[in-house]
Amino acid sequence: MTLQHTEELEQLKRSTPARIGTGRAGSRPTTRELLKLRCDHAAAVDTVYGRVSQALLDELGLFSVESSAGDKEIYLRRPDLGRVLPESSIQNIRLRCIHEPKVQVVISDGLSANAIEHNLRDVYPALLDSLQVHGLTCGTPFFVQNGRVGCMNAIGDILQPEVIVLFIGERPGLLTSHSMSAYLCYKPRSGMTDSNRMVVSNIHQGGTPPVEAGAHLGTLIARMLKQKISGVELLL
Amino acid sequence: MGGEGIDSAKWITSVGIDLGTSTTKCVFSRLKIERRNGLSMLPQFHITDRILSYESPMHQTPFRNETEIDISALEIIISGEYQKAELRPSDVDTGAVIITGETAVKLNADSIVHGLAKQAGAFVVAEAGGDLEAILAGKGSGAEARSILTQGMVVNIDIGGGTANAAFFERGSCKRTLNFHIGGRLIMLDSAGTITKVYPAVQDWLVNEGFHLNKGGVTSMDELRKITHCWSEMLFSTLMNPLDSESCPLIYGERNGALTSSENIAEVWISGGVGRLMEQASPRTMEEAAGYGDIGPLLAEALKKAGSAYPFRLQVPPGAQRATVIGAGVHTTVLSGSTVFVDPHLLPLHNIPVVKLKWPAGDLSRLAGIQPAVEAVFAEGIRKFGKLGKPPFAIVLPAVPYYSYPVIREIAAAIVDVSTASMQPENPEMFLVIICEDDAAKAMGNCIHVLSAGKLRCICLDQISVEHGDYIDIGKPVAEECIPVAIKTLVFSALRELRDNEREQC
Amino acid sequence: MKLTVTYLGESYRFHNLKELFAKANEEKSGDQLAEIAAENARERMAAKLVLAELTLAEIRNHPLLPPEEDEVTRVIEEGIDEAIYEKIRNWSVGELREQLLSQGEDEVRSIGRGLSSEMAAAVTKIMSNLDLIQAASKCEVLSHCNTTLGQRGRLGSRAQPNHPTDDLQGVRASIYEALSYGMGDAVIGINPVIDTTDNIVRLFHETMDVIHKWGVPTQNSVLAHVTTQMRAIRKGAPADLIFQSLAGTERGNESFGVNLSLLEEADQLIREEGTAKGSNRWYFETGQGSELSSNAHHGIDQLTLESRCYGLAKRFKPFLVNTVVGFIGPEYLYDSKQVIRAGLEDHFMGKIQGLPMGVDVCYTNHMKADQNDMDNLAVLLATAGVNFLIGVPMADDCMLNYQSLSYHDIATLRELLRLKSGNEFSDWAEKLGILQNGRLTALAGDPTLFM
Repeated sequence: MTLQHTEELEQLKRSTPARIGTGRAGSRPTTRELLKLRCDHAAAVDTVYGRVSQALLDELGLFSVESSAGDKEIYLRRPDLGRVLPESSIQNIRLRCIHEPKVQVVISDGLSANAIEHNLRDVYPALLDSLQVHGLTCGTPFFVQNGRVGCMNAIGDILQPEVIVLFIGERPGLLTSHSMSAYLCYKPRSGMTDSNRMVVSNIHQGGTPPVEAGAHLGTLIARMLKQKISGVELLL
Repeated sequence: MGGEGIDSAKWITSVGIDLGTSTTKCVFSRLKIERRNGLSMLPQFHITDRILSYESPMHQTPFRNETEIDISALEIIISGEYQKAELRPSDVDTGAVIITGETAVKLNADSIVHGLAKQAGAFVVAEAGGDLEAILAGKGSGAEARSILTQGMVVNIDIGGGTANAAFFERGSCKRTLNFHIGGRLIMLDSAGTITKVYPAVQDWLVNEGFHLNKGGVTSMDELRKITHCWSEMLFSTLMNPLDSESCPLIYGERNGALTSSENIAEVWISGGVGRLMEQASPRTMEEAAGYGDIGPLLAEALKKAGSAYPFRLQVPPGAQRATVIGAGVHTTVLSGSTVFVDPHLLPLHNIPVVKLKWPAGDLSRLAGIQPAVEAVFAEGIRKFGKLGKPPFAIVLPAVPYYSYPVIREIAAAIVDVSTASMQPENPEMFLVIICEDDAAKAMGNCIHVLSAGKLRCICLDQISVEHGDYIDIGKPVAEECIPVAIKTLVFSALRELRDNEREQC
Repeated sequence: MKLTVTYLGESYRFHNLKELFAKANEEKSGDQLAEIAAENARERMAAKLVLAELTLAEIRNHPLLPPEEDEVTRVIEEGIDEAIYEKIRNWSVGELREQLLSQGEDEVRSIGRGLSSEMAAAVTKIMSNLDLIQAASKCEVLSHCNTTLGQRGRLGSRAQPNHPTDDLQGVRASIYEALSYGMGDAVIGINPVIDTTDNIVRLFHETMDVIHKWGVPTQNSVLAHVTTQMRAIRKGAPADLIFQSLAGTERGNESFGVNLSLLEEADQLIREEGTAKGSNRWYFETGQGSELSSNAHHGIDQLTLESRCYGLAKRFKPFLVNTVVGFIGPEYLYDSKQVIRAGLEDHFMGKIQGLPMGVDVCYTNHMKADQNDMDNLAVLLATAGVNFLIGVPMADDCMLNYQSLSYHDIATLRELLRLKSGNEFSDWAEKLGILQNGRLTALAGDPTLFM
């Protein structure tokens, strides 16, 4: 039975995205709520196995390389392979990219291709504006299929950028399946860990606003370049 | 997880000065500014604590004559309080001077309030007006906070010497205000019942109702009880039946906010001097009734009696008499969103009037109609407040469902176009103030900067709720890009129109 | 020590206990990721055959991680009841299994006290799922904080009122939801988003306010890093329990920012400054795979490392130990089969080592598992006598972005298996009219009851 609709109940529900006050059938959830949970889960699962469209990559002028994970099943079981690149990808990057750029932008589907499809068109140009305001130049941006956060190190070794920005799809939740994170690292090289990196997460419409996230990243990058460090030691 | 890194809270000092019909008081408070979200989110600062650090005693408001406040006496009072609080005006980061009740219509009120603001600290807001006073008193008394927890509305009525200002709070926000010419000092008398003064605001009403009170005449407890009973009934019945307010003769000022007939008022709080008197025993003799030289005690008694017949809970908040000054000193300042676009050298700014853009009808993401809407708001601002540039006005961009990058760029392009056409950007004195209601200020500011090749200087703030007709003060950053803003609502609504008109004529 | 076997015409040789232990595990993606798992099903069985023949003394005498290298090993060694160990040291692992399944409850619990974490892990590797349920169900472990938890016939629950921005009103609304289903008897425990002292102080107060206002017989916990909780408690925050995640190696704990001496300092603090009545004041969380994820596994399999967490937890006589079984992701537990197995293993290993075990029956969206699998595991664990389960509104944790059990699910388990919530809490909920004879009444499920 659905709970009676009262102003008090609405007030509680407004205060949290948690699924409260949903009613019950005996001790079980109502049909509507049970199916809603399963629907949201289905959307999240499908997101994990989705692909970023060629149209988006073309539109933003991104070329594409693969991580060493190959396909999604291996990617899920072997995070280590998502952090490294096969020789073919390394050659491709070496050939097509400006070396030693001030700022290198990389995009990866990670666990949600949807996240990239939904947010990149807004966050990326806002980042470029912000970099321009701070007088910073960008290298050649590209896309890594089946990448993990750690692929920043591998790319850092190849291109030797001063700062790298990685836009990557987050593990999908039920509230949204298209949430994206931006990871930043000053002088990314082999051996760097999360404590050397900064992250802005939960980027999506309804979370961290994509355009404002892009703008903020430029400020963070400027700060990293000035202090010549990133991660937990960066003074905010 | 963040650990200690983001534990560093900052404190700023705020002052509140309440210049009322009968008393003047001031408070100092410390506001705690803290980053409340994780490091993986955009920085977001909040005022997380407001601590009252000093409260002055009540001073009699000094008047030079019936129509003018004694400025030099006032300045002595205020500077004395700063000394007692061991603060210099330069120590004060924010705050408000509020001129309340009948005092607000004194001839020199406008200049005083602004003069005082300068004396009290570089970044202090001057404000007045019954509606603002109602809101501040409701915040200061705690009625606003209380309304978050109650089912139904909490109405705070601040009743002082000359006015009763009611603010209707529902779930922590003020829905509307009502102002009455009802107060404890509108009729003054001595202990023998001889009338010493009747304020013009109630003169007509008294005559119409058949009460003949004249200076020098003698009145009775009975007559005064009838008058205060009428006022109390008028007050409460108008609260309960807001649609009646059109016909209520003692209401003044603008009727703010939508009136509906289906409001559920759970609690009525009475703050102000008359509120405090409600906690005392009822006067038995004329001598007791006129203990303060006015009808305050009788009004308090009448309110208690009349209120008991209504379905709401009537109560007096603790510290009733200081509700407004606490509201002014503790609750005036808000913070802008923390990702903004500012040049700190341009701050602080004072008394910036606000014009609000109207979005075109339809889906904004199609970009249609954005350019004309931006043109219109600039035209309106220039018409009302004079030239663009070193800003006499700020432009508010109302909330939109979603800021895609193309929408941001279209707006920024229109702003750059229109401003380049109507100002001389090469003049280093010139800049724009833009306020986004959504979290988008930094992206907007960046885009304006890029599109104008850095020639158009601007301050872009966000997540502040301001309305057409408000004035704002923008302080220097307190932490990172954390900007305190004081919003001055409805400064002398009558005077404002006058000023607007004057400006238009310039 | 015999590490060879001939099986189906093939001979197998394991180089050391570490290798044997890893290969004797049921299939887990985490052991494969660490490149220590059995090559195939036959090798796995060969390892189990060898392991079943080893004696408990042989396991103890060949430590996987020597005590001089690791403080967790030292704590485990100190925790063994030597008198009992002397009686059983010559049992083989296979014999231990049979003893656990055939002896009475008192004997089984007594045997448990003579085991090291590695012995508990070893026997787990050769037990079937139903073995694990049967043996665990013999271990009644009581713990005492403000209330008592773990009696037979009781199924406790943690209310987990998380909120994506730690909004106090939202947290409160979610607590009301839990209470209205008769949940939260084990603990009202919130995972904060913002790990600042002030915020943790606020959350301690908020949870305690609700508890006081409604006289709820339970305990509060804020699952921040232990150092942040300590600062909050020193600032006067009301804390019934102190929380920390544990790993099974010293290096693993280092990556969590803790070590033995810090835990002992926290232990002393919560004893002196904690607000609870009872003597068990720790809440620990664990989960297979965390050591590998911080590269602190020393080549040891994830099941054995998990067992070692319990050996460490035992030292602090906790009120609650919770294995967050499916949170870590598919690279450690790939699918529902692996999660269900791990849930049963962890529960048994904790119980046999005398811990008040609860389980967060959960999964993430990139694992091959769904809500039906959680239904299955929850029934198995409730049958096995799990002390408590984690509940979140409609199974969806809107802050941590994973799915656990719904309050509905725990209420259903109680009805099905005739289990009740904790003693004092159950009385409270009956008095309030939410429960009647342990079942939800018409009033139940309405959070506005508490407004």
